[in-house]
Amino acid sequence: MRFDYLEPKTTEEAIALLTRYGTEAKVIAGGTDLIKGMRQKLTRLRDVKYLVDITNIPGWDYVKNDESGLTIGALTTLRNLETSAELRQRCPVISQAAGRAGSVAMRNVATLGGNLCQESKCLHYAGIYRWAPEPCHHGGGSVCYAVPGAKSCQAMATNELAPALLCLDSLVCISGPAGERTKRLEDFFVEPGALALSNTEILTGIKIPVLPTSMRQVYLKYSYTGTLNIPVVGVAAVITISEGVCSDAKIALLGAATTPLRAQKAEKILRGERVSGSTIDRCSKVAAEEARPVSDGRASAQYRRAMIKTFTKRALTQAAAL
Amino acid sequence: MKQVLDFTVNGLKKQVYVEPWWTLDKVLREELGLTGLKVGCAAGACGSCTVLIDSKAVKSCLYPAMKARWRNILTIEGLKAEGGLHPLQQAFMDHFALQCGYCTPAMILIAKALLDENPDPTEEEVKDYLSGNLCRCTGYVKIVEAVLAAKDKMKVRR
Repeated sequence: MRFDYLEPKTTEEAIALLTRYGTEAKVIAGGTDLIKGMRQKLTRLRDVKYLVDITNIPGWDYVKNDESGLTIGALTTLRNLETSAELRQRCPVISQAAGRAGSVAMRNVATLGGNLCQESKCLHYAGIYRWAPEPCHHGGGSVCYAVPGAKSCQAMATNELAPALLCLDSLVCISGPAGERTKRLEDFFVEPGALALSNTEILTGIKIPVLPTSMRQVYLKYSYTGTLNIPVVGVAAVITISEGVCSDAKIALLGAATTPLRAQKAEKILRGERVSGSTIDRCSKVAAEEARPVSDGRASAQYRRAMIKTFTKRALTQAAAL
Repeated sequence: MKQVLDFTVNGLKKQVYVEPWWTLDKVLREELGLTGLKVGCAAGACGSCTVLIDSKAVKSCLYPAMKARWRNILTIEGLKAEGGLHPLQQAFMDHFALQCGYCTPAMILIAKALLDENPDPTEEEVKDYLSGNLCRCTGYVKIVEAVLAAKDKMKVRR
């Protein structure tokens, strides 16, 4: 593992460095995912020669709530998201999700931006197939070792913060050579490892223009015990109930598709219905059917589907009881 | 080309020369001889490389050395208390919370980080906080016991 470590002090400096070094440069914030990947010599990271550390740039580590809505800087650590009194009060689903990512030591360093920009890696890409002579789609080649014959990368999405933020209709704020722009979060994820973000752009924060009125917010995660804790399945549910009837439901999933997925068909089942055990059951079933999981080394498609049903049901039941 | 790194380790100012690609575990172990922290997986999974940076637990195997500039690092060697061992160290011994001892320096530091943040955690909170630190020997029961025992001792002292 060899690289040069650059520490720009301003956004302009950072963008200039990314422009100058192109595909040989990578943005580093907390670095927990990046350093691990570089040490493992993951295909995409083999040519990286310059790490552009953006943590010295001021003004991206904050949680702010004002008339324009709630904004969170991309350099806010996951631990700060977990413990933020403001977030726990207004958007507890974000704190719940952040608190389930990795472990405390990881969360002290890992950032919101890093988590949203994290490449979802299947265990074939991150495992022995990284030495295969023919790179997979994710590595720039044209085969898939997880799903033979697949025409594009099939890794299941693992960005822990995504479902919660999708349920809150978040926008992402991006800075680049052409200035600043915002984008809907659902349009940000294109496919595993491909974001609507060019090489010379940096994610600077997220914006939630309209705060949720309902505090019935739950994030549940299923993963294999402890350690790195990559989510196998993640479910965020934000529901609004008045007089026993669900007036609004937002459900978003990880481990259900190659990008974080809003389970819109499942949401329709619940909207306008009296909330009961059986509606929740029907809703979870539809969520599992709506999902497009594949067997990517971490879990089989069948198992993921079963867990999506189970955890959607649990999340909705818990949210309804709040 | 090596770069200078100024930081504070266990209360003492240090200056070392590091390659830009080094991670903090290598610097502490090999440049400063602080071999209390271990490199188990080098992937951020086992937690045996845990140190405290500005009082926060961090996995030093994934922490670029360059990020440590001007920061305060605490390793197990820096754990002090008046008149002997830190209550956590004493509790780990009293409760047989170690066998081979490989995970122990990191386990004690993460426990310290917990008790400094939350002086009265429940058993569940202890387990959750320590969930990033693996132990192959003990099965964790005695470790959790030791942390809870140290918590009581430390509460009395405060």
